[in-house]
Amino acid sequence: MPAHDDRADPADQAPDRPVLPPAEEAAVRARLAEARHTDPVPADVVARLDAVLADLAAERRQTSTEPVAPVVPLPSRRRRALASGLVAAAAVVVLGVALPQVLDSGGSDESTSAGDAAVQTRPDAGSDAGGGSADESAPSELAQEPGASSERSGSAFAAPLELSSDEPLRPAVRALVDRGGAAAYDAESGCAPGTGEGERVAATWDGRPAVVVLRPPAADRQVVDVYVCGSGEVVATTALPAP
Amino acid sequence: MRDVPTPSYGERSDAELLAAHVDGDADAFGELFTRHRDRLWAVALRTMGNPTDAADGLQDGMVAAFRRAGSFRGEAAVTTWLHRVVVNACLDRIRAAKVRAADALPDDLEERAARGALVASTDDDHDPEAGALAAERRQVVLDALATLAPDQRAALVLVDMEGYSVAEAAEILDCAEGTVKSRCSRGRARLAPLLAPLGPAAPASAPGNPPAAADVPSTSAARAPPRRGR
Repeated sequence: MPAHDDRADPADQAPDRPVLPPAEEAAVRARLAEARHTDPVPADVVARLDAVLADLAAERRQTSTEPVAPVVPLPSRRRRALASGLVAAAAVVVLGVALPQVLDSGGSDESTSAGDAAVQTRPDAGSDAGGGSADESAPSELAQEPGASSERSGSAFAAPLELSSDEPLRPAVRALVDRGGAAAYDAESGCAPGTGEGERVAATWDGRPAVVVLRPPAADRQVVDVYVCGSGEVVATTALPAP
Repeated sequence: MRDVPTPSYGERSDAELLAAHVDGDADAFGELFTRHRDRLWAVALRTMGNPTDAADGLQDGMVAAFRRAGSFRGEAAVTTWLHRVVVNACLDRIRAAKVRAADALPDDLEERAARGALVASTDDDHDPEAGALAAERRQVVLDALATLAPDQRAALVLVDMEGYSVAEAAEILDCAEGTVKSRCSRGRARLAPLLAPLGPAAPASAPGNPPAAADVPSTSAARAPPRRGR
């Protein structure tokens, strides 16, 4: 609220002395009192004020119901941070154990070095990792293969391999061939019967159920075909270097 | 000074309603404002000079009070605080309009006074002749009032029209009591020659204390200056 500045009108600061004779001043005061407004607020103004008030109340309700970050007690937060650290350490150990077993021993240099690095960290992690089985772990590295769908979850390898007509097929399926990763995906033998010989991997094609068929290597190449379930036609194909 | 009757509806005092509003009660402010709305309207109307600008000033004040309720510290009565917010909103509007159209202000004021005359209350509706005479007198007063500086006008509206004490008016206007006295005194001096043609006022019109029977029909709680401690 702006404060009224008395200095703005020096006349206001004049000594308090009567300017009018008392009788005349009383007459003026009486006239002013007569002119006092005594009617209630007009209905249209009431309606307007009520509408503004309703808007203010709604605005206030909306503000008060906006989600606010929950208050987390500091000790609880610290315990959670410690637990997260232990889980992260365990994950490193699991990856270190699982990757060398899942991936082909002749795999890429990256995977080997990653496995080595993970193994080297194992002593630090200790046995609290829970001894995660390599067989139960998923090669999350595969999910991050360039070209693979970003929607795919690294550990959800029970789910079909997501493929899209908007993405190049070759990099998306290369990991299946290069690293033997096909075993990590569901085999969907019941889908697209008659797709011929080859290892089948459950997939989706533009969101529709599909199957990826890894043909037997021929010479130094391996053909990969994609079928949409219920159709015998190949919707996408590519050829990769034989593993 | 007349007593302020206990509100006929609701058990909560003004201070309780304001506190409830701050605490999130969705209906408290509406109840509080409705309780004093007519009196605030009267002050806004006489300060602004016409109903259009008075509605704007009253709305500005209501919005400001709604949003700044948390800043109320209880140093004054809630009604005093409400009046202060509304009067300041009105004066801010007058100053802003003055800045925007300083050259047109005199004509504008006349126009405003004329517009105000359209809604001036008539207490003598039962007697058309007396009512017309009263309306004419009232219009002369309002025209004269409109010629005053806003601060002088606000002081006279509070003290001589609405019956607030000088101390209460000083609290509402956020200035010293001597300033209110000075503004009132000088304002009356300026009005005197303008009101002289009206002759002496009726004996029943006691300066600064309008008759109790003139309460606004819509509420019985808001027709007298606020008392502390409500």
